[in-house]
Formats: sequence, C-alpha cells, structure tokens
Amino acid sequence: MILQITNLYKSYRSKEALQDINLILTAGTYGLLGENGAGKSTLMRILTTIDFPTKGTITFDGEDIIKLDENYREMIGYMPQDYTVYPSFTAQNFLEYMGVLKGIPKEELDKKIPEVLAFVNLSEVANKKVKSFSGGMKRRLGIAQAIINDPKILILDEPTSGLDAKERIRFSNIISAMSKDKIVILSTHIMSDIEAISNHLIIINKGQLIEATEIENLVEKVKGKVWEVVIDQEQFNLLSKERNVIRRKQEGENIRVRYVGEPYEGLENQSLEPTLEDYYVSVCL
Amino acid sequence: MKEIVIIEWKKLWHSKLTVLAVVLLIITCIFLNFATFFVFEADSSGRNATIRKEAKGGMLNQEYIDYLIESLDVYELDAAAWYDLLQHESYSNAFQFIGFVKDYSDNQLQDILSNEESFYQQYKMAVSKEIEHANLFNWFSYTAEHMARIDNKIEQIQTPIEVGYNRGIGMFIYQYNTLYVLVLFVISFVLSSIFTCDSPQGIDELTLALKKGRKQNFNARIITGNIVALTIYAIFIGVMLIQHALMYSLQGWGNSLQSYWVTAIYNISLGSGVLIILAHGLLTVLLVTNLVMLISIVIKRAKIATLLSITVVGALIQLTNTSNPLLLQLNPVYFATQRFNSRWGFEFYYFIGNIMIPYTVIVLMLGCLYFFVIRLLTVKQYKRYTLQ
Repeated sequence: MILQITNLYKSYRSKEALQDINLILTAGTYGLLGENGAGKSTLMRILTTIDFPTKGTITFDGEDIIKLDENYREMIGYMPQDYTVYPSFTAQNFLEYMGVLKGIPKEELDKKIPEVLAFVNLSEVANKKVKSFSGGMKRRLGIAQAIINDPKILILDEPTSGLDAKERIRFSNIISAMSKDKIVILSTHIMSDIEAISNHLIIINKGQLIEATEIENLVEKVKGKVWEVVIDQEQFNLLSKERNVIRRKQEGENIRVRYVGEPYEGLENQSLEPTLEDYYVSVCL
Repeated sequence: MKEIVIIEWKKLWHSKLTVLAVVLLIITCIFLNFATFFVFEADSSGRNATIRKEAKGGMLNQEYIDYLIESLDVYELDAAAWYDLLQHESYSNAFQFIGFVKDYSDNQLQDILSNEESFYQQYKMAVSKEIEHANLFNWFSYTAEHMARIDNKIEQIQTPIEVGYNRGIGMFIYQYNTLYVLVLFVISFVLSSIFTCDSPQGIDELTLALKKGRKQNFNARIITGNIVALTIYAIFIGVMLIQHALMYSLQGWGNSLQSYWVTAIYNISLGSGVLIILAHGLLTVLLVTNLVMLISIVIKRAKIATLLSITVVGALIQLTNTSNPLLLQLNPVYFATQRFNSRWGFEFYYFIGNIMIPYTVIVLMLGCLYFFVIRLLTVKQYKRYTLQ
C-alpha cells in the first residue's frame, strides 16, 4: 500500500498553494504540520479528490487516483475541518446518508452504524439531531462517518480542534486503535497530539515541503540542545535575541525559560529531553 | 442510486422554503382561479356567480343546426344578439364554430346553414384560409405544394364535429396559460441551490470525498430535481383541475378538438388536446429544471444561483413577447404556451420536402437537443466540480 505524491503543484489564480511536493506514504500515521495557510488543507483536499492538482500526480499502488476515481474514493475516509449536516438529520440519518454515498449495502450499514456510534461513544444520542451537538460530539460523529467504510487511507483535517482535554485523549486512542494497516494523515496545530498519535511528521510551509520523516529522527536532531534556565528579565532579553525560546514562565521576579541551541554562557543551564515542539519551533518557525 | 434519490428527495421536501414556495403556488392559483371565476361569471350585481351547464351536446349535424335555427331564430340575430349567444354556455361551442365559418364565407348565414355537407365544406375552406393567412406571419412560407398537402389533411377532418358544454375545460386551459409561469419560478427557487456549496442541501467537501459522492450523487440529484419538478407540476395541474371541476365541472373531454380550436386538423378529442398541452408544459418544466440545476452547478453560491435562475426564467418568459417568429418558436417557454399566445391555433406545420412536420414534433426534437446540450454541460461541470 503506497500513496505516492510526485511533483505536485496547486495554484489558485496567482497564489501558489502547493509547490513541488514529493512524498511516499506507506502504512502508518502521518502528522501534517504547518502554519495557517501553509497548504495543509489544500494537500488533503487533493488527496481526497475534492480538488485537483494544477500539475503533478498522485498514485495509489502505481495508479493515478483521479483515474481510479470511485475505486480510490472507496478506500478513503475523510473528515474535513468543518462539515455541514442537513439540519433535520439525526446522527443515525447522517451516517445512513454517508453510508449510502460510500456505497455500503444496507444490511452492512445497519450493522456498521451502531458499531461506529459505539466506537465514538455517541450511541445514546443516535436519534438526536446533529444540529444540537457540541463541537466535540460533531467531531466524533465526523470520525464515525470517516471510518464507517473501514478505509485504507484515513485523512483527518484538524480533528482535535474544539475538543476538550478528555475528548482529545479519547480521540488519540481511537486513532491509535485504527492506525494499523492504514495510512492515516492528520493535520493539527497541537504538537502534543501529533507526538501522541503519529510516528511520521510532514511539515509544510508556504506551500513547500520542509520535512517528511519519522518523528524520532526529528527529535534526535535537537538532542543535547534543549535547555532550561531561571533568569531575570534583563538576562531573558539578551537570551531571547540569541536563542530560540520555546517557552517562558514567570516565577515571581524571575523567568523559567526553555530554549534550543548551544548552552548560554554564564547561566546555570539544565539539559532537558527534547520534544517535537522543540524541533518545530527552533527549525521551522 | 435509488437510496440516494430517496434521501435527496426527503432533504428537498424537509426544506421549509420548498414547502413554503409550493404552498404559496397553491394559494395563488386558488385565489386567482376564484378571482377569474367571479370576473367572468358574476351577474350584474357582482355578488352571484353561476354556471349554466344545460348545454346541448352531441354532433353538430343537420339535426343540431335545425334545432338552433328553430329554437333561437338565428337568421334574425343582430351582432349584439350573436355576441350574447356566444356568451351563453349552452350554445357557445356551436356558435363559435358557426361564427368562424361565417367570418370566412361570402354567403349569407341561411346559405351556410342550409345543408350539413356544404356547411362542413365551407368550414374546411375556412380552416385552409386561416392557416394560409397565419402563415403570412411565420418565418417559414408555404408553397402551393405545402398548402395542397395541408388541404389534403384538412379534408380528412372527421365531420360532423362533436360539441357540448366545455366551459370548465376552457377556463382550465385559460388559467393554465396564465398561471403556468408561476410553476417555472417556483422550480427555479426550489432547485437553484441543489448543487451549491454554501447551502445545507448542497454539495460539501464531505460528499465529494465519498465513493458515490461525485458521479452518482450528482446524477441522483439531477433525477431528484426532475422528480421534484414533476411533482410540483402535478400539484399545480391537480389543484387547477380539482378547482375547475368544482367551479364549472370538467364536462366536454370527449368533444371534438375543433369544438375549442376550430382550425385544428387532428381527429382527436378535446381531452386528448388538453393532454398534449400538459405534455408540452411538462417538457418545458423539465427543460427549465435542468437549466436551473446547470446554473446551480456552475454558480455554486446559493443566493446568486437563485437570483440568476429566476432572472433567466423571467428573461425566457419575456422573450415570448417577441415579434420574431423564429426566436419565439425556439423558446422553451413557448413550447408550453404556444397554443394560447399565437395566431397559429392548436398547431402549425413545417415541411421537409413534401413531408409535413407538426410543431409538436419540432418541439420534441428541440427539447431533445436542449436536453442533450444541458446534459453535456452538466456532466462536464460535475466531473471537475470543486468547491473553490
């Protein structure tokens, strides 16, 4: 199972949304990271055939996904950043509608709907109108529709936005449980989610591919370069000009600072275990 | 596909705007039908409207003509009395028919009505003259051979014709012609957002990413749109028929077509003629429906698509007021209303060589052509439909 993106370009009038993207994706979970407007959603829309590339190709097991058409879309599950549910639809109605459009036979759909509703913990509200759902419930329903056809490729755009801490943990567990033998691509701004769920990271900035590798490798790149110091305001002003500050926390008159780079001379630098956030902030921003 | 059509059907009818538009159509039709009823049928006080249904039906043969002559003393009628008789329900069919023959004849009424055979001979000559005269205003001019062919058809009109009370059918046809355009506006309003990307019943990212979300979903919506349009049209016809049946009765379906359209050359009943009209109306409804859905796919923004659809339908209706007969006959709205707004009567004819082709056949051919073009453009649009 190989999803290959080759020399992909997408432009909207004069704006280049994606430029020369090349990626090979196999089974695993891929976090897609980038600032707002970096091109993440555009890439996802092209991967789901909602939109079409200006140039370049995407193949699945060697065949162009546009030519595969329905045969490709049959294998994908997609949850967009936001989606519209017809006002009078209940969760059950909505999943029936999605199931029909996914080509799932009625008998199978009758079995699948209670399963996926239970999976995302929405069984009790199956007959409630979706318009009365909270943001988190709607996200979970979005996941339910995405997985109802047991897709080989699961594409989730900002799946954790709007979820509270408990729901994010639940979501992480759901994705982890599903990621075996699937290509899962998820975009998020929340670094800890990517670290918790993904084993690969794809970074896009201004439409260009910055990085695509295993998360462990990225973290390794900043190993021995992450430090913590407690300093006063004057020292902080100097340090922040010369090092990449990841976080700062005010502690009375002093400031606890986490930074990346060579240890700042003259301070009591304490070495820390690096995280993905350390890499992303120091290298990509 | 069937399941998608059912869901899309439910979605469209769950929309309050759809229900509101159809209810408004029904209320408007009922109100205007009643208003017309009172305008045409009220007595001098304006308070009471009654219909006299004691029409003498049957074949307009010598016996019927003699009955008219004896009972009404028609030879002594002056213009005002003749007009009164035309307004009289019982005899208007027969008198309208006799009046048409009289208008084209140099003979006195006594001579026209003296003999059934000569009466119908004069009638057929009058039809021929009327068709030839009407052709002066058409873009396609008949040659002598064409007229000979038409005359041959006129000769085959079965006589005597059957007349009888048909006020209800007549008023139904009249009101159908007046109110028909409302159906087109309702359809434009109801279906213009079916493919837009900013409406709850339209297309969104989620549906486009699904296996059947593109080709089958789009085709299912097109089928649903046509079924919904068909339903709205059926509701319109149903309301009109029921109301006219209650107000006037719908007697006269079995009368000869010529009892209403005197120049018609088809040997069919008035009821069959009404069905042909309704079929033409249906064709226009379906053409407008598919045009509106094409606008919806191209524009993708609900409000703009609705506004544009209504404007296009309004423009098509407005274009039926043209004096250019070719432009008029190509207009799909004219397919439905041709029989009321033209000087050509029930039908007019074209020729390829010596083969006579009625406008009804031209309408079918044009309809197929329009459908084909709309379909081509629609498929082209939905294959590359994006939400941008």
